[in-house]
Amino acid sequence: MLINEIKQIMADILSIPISEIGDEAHAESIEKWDSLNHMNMMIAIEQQLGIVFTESELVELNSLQSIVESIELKK
Amino acid sequence: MSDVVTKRKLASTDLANITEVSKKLNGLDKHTLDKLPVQKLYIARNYTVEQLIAPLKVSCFERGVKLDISVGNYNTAFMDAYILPSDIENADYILVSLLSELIVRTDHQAELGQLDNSLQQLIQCYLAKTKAVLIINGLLLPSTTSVDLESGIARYVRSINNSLRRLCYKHYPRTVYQDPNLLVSRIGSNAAIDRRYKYLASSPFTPSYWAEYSRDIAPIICSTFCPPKKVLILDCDNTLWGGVIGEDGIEGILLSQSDYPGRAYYDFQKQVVALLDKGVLLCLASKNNQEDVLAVLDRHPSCLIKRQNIVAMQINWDDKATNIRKIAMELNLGLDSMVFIDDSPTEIALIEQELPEVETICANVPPYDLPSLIENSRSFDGFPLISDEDKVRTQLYESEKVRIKVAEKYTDLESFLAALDVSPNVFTPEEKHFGRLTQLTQKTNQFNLTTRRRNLGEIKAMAASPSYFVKALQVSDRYGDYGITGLFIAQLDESDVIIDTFLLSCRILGKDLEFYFIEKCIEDIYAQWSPGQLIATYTRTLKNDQVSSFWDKLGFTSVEQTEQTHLYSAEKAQLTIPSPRFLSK
Repeated sequence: MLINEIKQIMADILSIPISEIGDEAHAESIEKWDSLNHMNMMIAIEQQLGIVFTESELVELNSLQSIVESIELKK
Repeated sequence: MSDVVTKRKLASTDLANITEVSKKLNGLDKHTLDKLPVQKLYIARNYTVEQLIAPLKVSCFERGVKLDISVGNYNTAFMDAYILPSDIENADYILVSLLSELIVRTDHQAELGQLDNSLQQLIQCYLAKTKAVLIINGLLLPSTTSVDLESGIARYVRSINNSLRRLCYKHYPRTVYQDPNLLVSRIGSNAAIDRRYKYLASSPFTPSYWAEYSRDIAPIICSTFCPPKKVLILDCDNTLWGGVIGEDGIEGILLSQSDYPGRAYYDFQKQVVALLDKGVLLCLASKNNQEDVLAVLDRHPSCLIKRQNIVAMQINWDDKATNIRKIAMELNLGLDSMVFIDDSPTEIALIEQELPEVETICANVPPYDLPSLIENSRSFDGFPLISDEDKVRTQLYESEKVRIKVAEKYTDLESFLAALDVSPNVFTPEEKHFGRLTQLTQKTNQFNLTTRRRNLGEIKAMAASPSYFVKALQVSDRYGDYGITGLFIAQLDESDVIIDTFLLSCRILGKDLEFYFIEKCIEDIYAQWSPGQLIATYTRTLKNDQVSSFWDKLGFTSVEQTEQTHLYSAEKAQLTIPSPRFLSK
């Protein structure tokens, strides 16, 4: 499942257990999800899935749901 | 020995893969880490370098060093040397990495000249005040000047880099110059620069760039505990030349200045010979008849490595582990100072198993990749070790020379800030500013008292409403214009005024601009509305702890406090706004 794959990347980058990342996770609810880790996660997702986010996606996708949705649109 | 094996496994980490590096770093055994020697690195920067941290730590760990990194604030790179936070004082290494694009906004020679001076002063100041080794990054050439490298800003950047490099090599033994442009050209500009993040986050470099960068500077940072290797032990057939000398004969082996693949072996030999200048000792370990090999060294017209360059040789039919042990005994040097290069994976595997202390380079690659093998291994890279006495001596010399200069310049942070010519401008925003202001409410996390995210419509409405008071802050100093970097919003509520939003971009923190900005706003509010009370709020988020006592500092009275929200009020008379240090000329 895509959402689990993204959760795993987030857990690796944020260095937190995957169990702490709920389906509703967003930047304001996870302490380590700051602007720097946001950038790291987006790059990690790009590297892992071989996709490229647009500039506005990089800025606006600040929840797990929105990230997953935008990746699905790219497939 | 298990440590050696761990290191070897780690060495296979793909440093450009963010996830892999992050996992590796988080997975490092704390017990092992705590046993390692520690080096401290301070990074003075004016752009986002945080993506360097993980790969550099992993690189250093591979060399048996635990690296602690602290990173200076954005745009305080020039101040750090004067404030000298304790992180700097204790640092073993200070990395100075600046992007000229963020300092110089035009391509005027004067501005770059000033930057050049500032950089040199910065270097002198660090040398005088700390014991650290400085790693100085040259300036990055602008990516749009590929057409004519001799014109405009590129020319000045190159001349600054040249003078920095000369300073570092000739005059300051405690410095290393590193040129980012060489690295960019090595991996290619498209692989090195991410234009999206360059603009979105002042983070122009990709993970691939930082991976390569880590490989370049880890050997320097780890020099004290993992010194550069001293000995290179070379296999002969299919390493120094193509083919087998015992079968092909001196005429038949591939080694030539003109034809491939012989030319690749010739270039490889060039790299080997270049190591002699670094003081590396060359040895041979080859399964051959000794006279066949010596004939090539003595007589082959394209053989650059000569018999007199070789300090020890074991050319026989014994196994290579035995031969390398013999070389170590003969030279009376430790196995951990040696590198062994061979085209046979079997020989490499044997040495890795029998003599894990010896570093190995497997030359089982197409000939065209041979010449870069040694450089890529970074085995012989590092900072030339300086004895403590030398350190003290050079430092005394440097500080004597520099102290006067620095003292003449700036004695403290106040006068430094004053010399910065910080010029803030508080103004009422207009239509064209609303986009940027909206973005500030969306993105500012740290210096943000209430963290209320607004959309463009809301900002427009507030700016137009007679019961709202909206001010913006624009800042520039002698290093450039920082643009709109602060927002204040207040709302008239009967006879009181409620401060709705107060935020500053992290780009301009550390200059006391918050005090300047708020004072101006409050003055204006009183001139406009003369309210009874000012009501202010601090709303706690996960990221704005640094401003949790901001209203206290201004003399506000605490009214009500919950875990999330702290409500304050004040009358004008009780306010005690600290005076900004940049005004203390």
